[in-house]
Amino acid sequence: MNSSVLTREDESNAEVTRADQEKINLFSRLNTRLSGLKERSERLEADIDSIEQSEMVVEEMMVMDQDHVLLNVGTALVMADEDVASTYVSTEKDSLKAKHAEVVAEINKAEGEMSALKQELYGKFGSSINLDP
Amino acid sequence: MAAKPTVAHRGIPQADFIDNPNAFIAQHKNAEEALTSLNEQYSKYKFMDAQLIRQKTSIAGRIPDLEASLKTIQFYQQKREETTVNHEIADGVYAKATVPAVENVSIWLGCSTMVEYPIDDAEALLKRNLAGARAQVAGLDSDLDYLKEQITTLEVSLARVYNADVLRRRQTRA
Repeated sequence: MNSSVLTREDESNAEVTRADQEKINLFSRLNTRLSGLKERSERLEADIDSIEQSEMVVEEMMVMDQDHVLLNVGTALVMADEDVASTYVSTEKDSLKAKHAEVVAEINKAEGEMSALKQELYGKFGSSINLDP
Repeated sequence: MAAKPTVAHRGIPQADFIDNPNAFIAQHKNAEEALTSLNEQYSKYKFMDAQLIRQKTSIAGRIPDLEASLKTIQFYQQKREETTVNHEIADGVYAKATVPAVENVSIWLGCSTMVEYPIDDAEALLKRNLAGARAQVAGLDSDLDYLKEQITTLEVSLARVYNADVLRRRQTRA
C-alpha cells in the first residue's frame, strides 16, 4: 500500500460506503484483468509476425521452384509440399488474428469500464484515492 | 465481469466491509489493536494469494505442451498417408524418417508409463486433459479474483480505520 500524506485542504471527508468499496474492488479486478489481456495481446502479435514471415517463405517456394518446406509440428519437422504448407500457415494465421481481435475488443471494454469508474471515484474522493499507479 | 461481489469461495473467508470505522475501533481495546487485527487478516490473505498463484503457474505450465501434442496428433490425423519427417534425435540434431500412415500413437502418462492408443482415441484423451487443465486454471482464476476483492476491501479498511483514528486524536487535542 503506498501512503502519501495529504494537506488538510486536500483531505476528503467523504465516507466510504459499501457501494464505493464495490466500485473500488471492481476497478482492481479490471486492472488485473487488463494486465493479463495486454500480455496476451503482445504474445499474439509476436506470433502473428512469425506466421507472416512463414507465409513469405512459403510464397517464395513458388518462385524458387522448391518442392517442399519443413513444417514445425510439435517437436518434429515434417516435409510438406506447397499446398499443405500454405493451407497450414494460412489457417494458423486466421486463427491467431481472430484471437487477437477478441483480445483487443476485451481490452477496449475493460479500459472503458475503468475510465467510467475513475471518473466516479475521483469525483467523490479526489486526491484521497489513487487509481493511476 | 460481474459487478456484484461473488459468493464465498471454498476456503476463502469473506472480509467484512466496515460500515463505521469508529464503531469497529470500539470493538477492540484501542485503535492499535484494531489495526493489528486487520493486519493479521491481511497477511493471511496475502499468503493464500501466493499459494494459489503457485498452483496456477504449475497447472498453466502444462497447457502449452498439451496444446503442442494435440496439434501434432491432429496433423497426423488429417494426413492419413506416408510422411517424411525430420525428427529431433538430440538437441538441434535431426534425422529423416519415413512415417507410415499413423494408426496408433503412444502417450506418456507420467510415472514411467507410456500407453499406445489409436490416434482418434489419443486425440480425444488429450482434448479431455487440455479441457481439464483449462478448467482448473479457470477455477483458480475465479478464486484469485475473489481473494483480490477481499484484499482490496481489507486495504481500504486499514486506511479508513487509521484515518478515523488520526481524526479522533486531532479532535481530542483541539
